Amino acid sequence: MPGRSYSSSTGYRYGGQGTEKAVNSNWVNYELRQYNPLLGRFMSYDPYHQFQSPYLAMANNPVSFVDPSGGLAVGGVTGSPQNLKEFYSIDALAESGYSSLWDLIWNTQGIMGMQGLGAGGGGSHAHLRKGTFSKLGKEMVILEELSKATGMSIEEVRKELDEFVNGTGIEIVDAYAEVLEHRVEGELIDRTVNIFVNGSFQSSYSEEFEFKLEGGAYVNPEDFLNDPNMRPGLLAQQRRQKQNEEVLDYIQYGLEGVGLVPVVGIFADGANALIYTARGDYVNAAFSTGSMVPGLGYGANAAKLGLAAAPLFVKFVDKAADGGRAFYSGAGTGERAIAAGFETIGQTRAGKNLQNLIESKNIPWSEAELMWQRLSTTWARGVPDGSTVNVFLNNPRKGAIWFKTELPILLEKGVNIIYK
Amino acid sequence: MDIEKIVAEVIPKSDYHHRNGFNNIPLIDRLSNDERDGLEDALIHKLLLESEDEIDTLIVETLAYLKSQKSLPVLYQLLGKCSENLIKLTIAASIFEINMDTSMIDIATGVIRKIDNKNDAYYVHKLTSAFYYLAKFQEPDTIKLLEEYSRHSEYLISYNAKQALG
Repeated sequence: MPGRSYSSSTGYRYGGQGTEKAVNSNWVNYELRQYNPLLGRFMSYDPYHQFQSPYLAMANNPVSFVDPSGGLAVGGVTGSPQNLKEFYSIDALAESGYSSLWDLIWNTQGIMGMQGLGAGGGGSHAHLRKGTFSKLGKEMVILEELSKATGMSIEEVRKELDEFVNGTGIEIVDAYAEVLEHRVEGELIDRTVNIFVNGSFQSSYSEEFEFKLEGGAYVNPEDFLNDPNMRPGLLAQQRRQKQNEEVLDYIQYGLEGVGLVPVVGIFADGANALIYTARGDYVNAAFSTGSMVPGLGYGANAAKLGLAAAPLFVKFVDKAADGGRAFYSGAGTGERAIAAGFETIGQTRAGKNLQNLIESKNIPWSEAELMWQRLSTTWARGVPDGSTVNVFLNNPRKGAIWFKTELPILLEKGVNIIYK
Repeated sequence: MDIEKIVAEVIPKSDYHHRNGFNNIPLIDRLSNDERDGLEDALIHKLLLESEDEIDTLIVETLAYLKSQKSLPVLYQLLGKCSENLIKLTIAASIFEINMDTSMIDIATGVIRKIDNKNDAYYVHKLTSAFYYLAKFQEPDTIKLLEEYSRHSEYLISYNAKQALG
């Protein structure tokens, strides 16, 4: 229209949330950081660490979230648990076009970012990040996953989990949520590596590589690793991985203790298998699901869960070496091992759990010994091949766990044994 | 002679810390005849007070090591009532150790066949434990059975069968 046109050598610089666009880069100046609308990412590290990705903007959902300062995304669903429950009903899932809750989570923003999901709901790729989901959301994911894996109804799974929690006092729901999230983290890391190696854009799961590919500047790993602008992201990822390992240790040893218990151990074993899978530890994953192989006495549901977990075993990576681990057998040897500064099986979370369980349930020694023997099997199998362990013995009887289980496993693994 | 103290040393608290690998034979060997007699009576009394579900197998094994003829009626009674296979095997092996009752051999081999059940998540652990009781018989049937297991495909099973055979 004549007289109504507008032109400028620098273009119109104000838009979106009233922010100013930088003259040369098209990046947008928020108060704390610059935002690249082409990538949908902030270009510097998140000062408040709101999300696991330090570059993620508007919670990956600019429709539902705003970030006036460039430091904190606000908005999204803040409804009551009841609303969320309704939101996650199976009918709603079916109507939305998602085959499962997991599918929905994977393809959207998580609970905080999901709002007004209707028929054929949105499906933008996004990140499943720790801290993104409420406890209820986690629980729903768990129930859905286990329901799919076992063929049980959601209600049946919930009942089993409730019984488990009541029986042990362990926050199994939290544990499962961690497991599931870490499984996804593992996939994300794998995808990141694949994208990096292949050098071509394959998915949007890794923001670091989105940046690389959109910028087009990085063609090999060395360039990426040497770029100071990329290092914060890389270091953050390494830090996350370390934290993940610690969390996994905590959960894993905790679950192994309760996983030994028939009936209530069904789900614990399943969780453990997933943790091992996330860690790529095939052998221990197989062990954890060993009690869930069809017909192994824990019932058909457990068997189904075990089978569901089986295809996830994709690679074998030794667990981290544990140089402080010691074995003992015979009167007074446990005290000697601890006094010498070694960690014994009884000091692990699994050991403590088992001890508490045996005491609280008044399990006779004839039965308890089998439980300890099984835990010892895991304990011995966790020793890295070819490493060195310390053993404290005091004239153990011939049928001692040391002779029956620990020694043969260590011998098979080529472990050097130092007798104390 | 403080029998209570001796019993507490020979039969320590039944938890992992006290029982892992615990071997009371050196302690028993150091006892005088009077102390052994006192220990025997105390253990029989203790056994009588235990229900068949809570039998402490270390007591049974200790009575067998003491060659306690006095304990036989109690042991036979427990054997008849006991339904848990490993405990049954322990009692049968102990009775055999005391009086060489050959009817115990069939009971022992029968128990082995029952616990060799892959449907039981603890079957490897049960079998490996059972071998050392089976080995106490030193009879052709039990030796043959152990030899069979020494060729088992499961490493822990074959290893322990060989160890039990000596």
